[in-house]
Amino acid sequence: MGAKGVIKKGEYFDSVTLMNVARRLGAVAGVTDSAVVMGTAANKSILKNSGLLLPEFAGAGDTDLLIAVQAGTETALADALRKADAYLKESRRGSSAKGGLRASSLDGALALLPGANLAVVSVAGRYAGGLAMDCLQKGLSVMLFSDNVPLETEVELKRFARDRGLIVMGPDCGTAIIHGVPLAFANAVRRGSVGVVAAAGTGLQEVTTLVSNEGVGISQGIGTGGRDVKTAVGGIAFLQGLDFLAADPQTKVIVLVSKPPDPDVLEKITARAAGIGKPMVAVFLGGDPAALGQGRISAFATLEAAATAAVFLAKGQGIEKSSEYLARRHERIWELAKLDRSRKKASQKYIRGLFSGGTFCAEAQVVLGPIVGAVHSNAPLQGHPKLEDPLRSVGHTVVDLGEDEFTVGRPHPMIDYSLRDKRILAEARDPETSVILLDVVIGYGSHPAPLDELGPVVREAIAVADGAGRHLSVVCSVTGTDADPQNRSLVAKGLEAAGAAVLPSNAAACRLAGEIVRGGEHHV
Amino acid sequence: MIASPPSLEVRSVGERVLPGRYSLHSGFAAAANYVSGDGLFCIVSLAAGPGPFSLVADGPFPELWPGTAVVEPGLLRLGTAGVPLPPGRRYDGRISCDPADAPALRKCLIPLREALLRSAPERSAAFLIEPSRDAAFASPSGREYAAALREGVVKLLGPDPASGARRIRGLGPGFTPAGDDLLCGYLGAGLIAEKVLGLDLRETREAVGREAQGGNPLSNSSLRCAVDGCFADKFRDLILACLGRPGRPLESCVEAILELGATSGADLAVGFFLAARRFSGEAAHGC
Repeated sequence: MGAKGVIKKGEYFDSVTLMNVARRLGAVAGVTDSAVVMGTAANKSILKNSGLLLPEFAGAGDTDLLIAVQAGTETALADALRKADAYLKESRRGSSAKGGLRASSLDGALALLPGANLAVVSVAGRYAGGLAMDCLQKGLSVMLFSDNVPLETEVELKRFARDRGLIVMGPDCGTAIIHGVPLAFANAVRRGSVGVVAAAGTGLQEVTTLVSNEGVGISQGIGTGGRDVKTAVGGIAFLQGLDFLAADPQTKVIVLVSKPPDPDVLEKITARAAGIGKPMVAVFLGGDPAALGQGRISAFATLEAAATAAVFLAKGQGIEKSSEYLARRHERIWELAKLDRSRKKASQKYIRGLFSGGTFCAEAQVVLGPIVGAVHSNAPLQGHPKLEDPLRSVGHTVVDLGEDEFTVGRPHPMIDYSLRDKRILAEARDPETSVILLDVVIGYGSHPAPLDELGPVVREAIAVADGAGRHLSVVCSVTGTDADPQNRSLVAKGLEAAGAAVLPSNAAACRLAGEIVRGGEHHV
Repeated sequence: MIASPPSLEVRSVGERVLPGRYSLHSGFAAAANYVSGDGLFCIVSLAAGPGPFSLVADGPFPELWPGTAVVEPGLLRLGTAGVPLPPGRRYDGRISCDPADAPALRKCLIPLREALLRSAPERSAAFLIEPSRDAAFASPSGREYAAALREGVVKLLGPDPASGARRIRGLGPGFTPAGDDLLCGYLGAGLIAEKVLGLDLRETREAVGREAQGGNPLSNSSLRCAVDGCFADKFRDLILACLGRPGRPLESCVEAILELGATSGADLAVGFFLAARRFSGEAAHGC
């Protein structure tokens, strides 16, 4: 007979839900008793008397949820704890469904909200095109979250929308901020004068949060979907977004975010930009800024640099000021790296980057390339080698965990950390690993309590390496704001307490990782 | 191309909602609790009704609430959105009563008990007024819980109320544990008994209020309000019905209060009933 339990911080349920979960757990084969309660002293006393007070509950407080199970076998314990989690999630889904009026059809939704003029479509790809077209025909612009929408459908939808003064953001558009409203994976940012058009979801999140965290706000964040800047689509939504920001009186500075557009699309963007009398900065990740920054557009190599330039422009200062600002940040990074570098063993040579955001994985290659040379990746940019087996790192490796090989049959890694957690520990055991590089993306739609899951894993990874006599550096960025439900500062502090170095941007985190393993002289 | 979104409309502002910058503590489908130090305010749906530290709002409730809220004179800032606070719609949860209400208070006890037994949820604290309801707590830990709550309530209603409060504060599953809700009910009945029955309960109420404070900001705010005689709308209606005031009939008020939380309303009403019965001399110590 044994007992096991877990603490869930910041999760609140009503008493009937918790009692029902406990009752259902009691019905799990092999379970003799269970309790699901808040961690108050009185409840701990009950658990103690029932033989369910576990040592790990000692530090739990009044607003922590405790799940304790007593069972005859290890298997039954594990099964019950897994089911507890599922039952709680189930109840959450049930309660949210009761939270307000829900429509079961597009017409029903329009009847509930007659003034609506934007629909978010998130259904299986094969149905998404038809539903998006229904929305357009009813006069609604569309944010098409779904992926696996055929290219020809995307083109048809976007042309249809453009001809009617509507826009289709997507497919595979995960982020947008429209009139201050975050849609899908987005963040609670300040409102302000910087408008963003992005063909990269996490890129849009990074730029908008960096701008917001520097005290400047966002007027609009318009997503387009990554394929929009390819020749086949012709940049239809990207150009519409640009036109919208040009006409928007709130927008004083425009930021363009994408992987390098196809040449003909870039030409169209450049031509359109020539007629816009607002400062414009761009980051076309993986492209040559000198070649891509044409006409009125100032192009930068990283999201951080573009966002910082936009901040200084919005404040009425020159772009050169932003370069000075970042140069000072690089100095501090170099100092930090020097400290870590001196504690490494000779075998610790490599960076292992595990990214939940594809754009961050690309940015890592952009930043690390000049510092450490070739970086293997399952999503390599030009000039970097393809990782033969995405599950096994080779030399310097950065992995995009959002790629299909990792996401089939499981939630996106911004929501489900389990795969990355395992990989972090595997990399920590590798004697060649010097730095584990992570992105942590918070905000709406992302993991609601990243610290609960990632904090213990970071601690364990560092301890695993330490046990083998190695100093492991865990370097990460937290994309988000303090106004996000998870609160960026709290997440960052928690990760630091776990032993990670938390940098203000993904580019800065990559730079620190690179400088730790570089071992050479100071380059700013 | 795309218009501003519809926003919440605030219908009433509790008198304890104070200006300041708050952080999200907990969010539910139809309620969100924001804290700032010891202070707290809640945004609740129309169905929950007004309360001393509630903003009652009409409109689409977000499933994910913004992490920060700023209350300013006339304005609530939720994340990046601003919601006007209507002037002149301050909710005042105090009750005016005097010894003339004593007969009605005594008379309400039987129908109140019957109404609670008819409608209170199976797993609420109503087992304290009807022992056969213990069956709902059959597991070993469930039995422990029921026994602890009973033991604490016996002390609360006996000669050592502060010790009883210590025993049951934070006791029970759920975001606001049953013990905390019972204590709010007890404190409400204590204040009414002071005014209506002429008992000197001030020190007792204050001691219980002090001992009942724990680590749950929502419970703590409710308990402070109950000590001060400042009640949520549904609890206030129930008390007024118990005092025989014109308005909603007692049965309807019981039904309304039972809608609060999963068992919170029932636990609150049970606490009120047990204490009112004790203070009016209708029951000996204990339950």
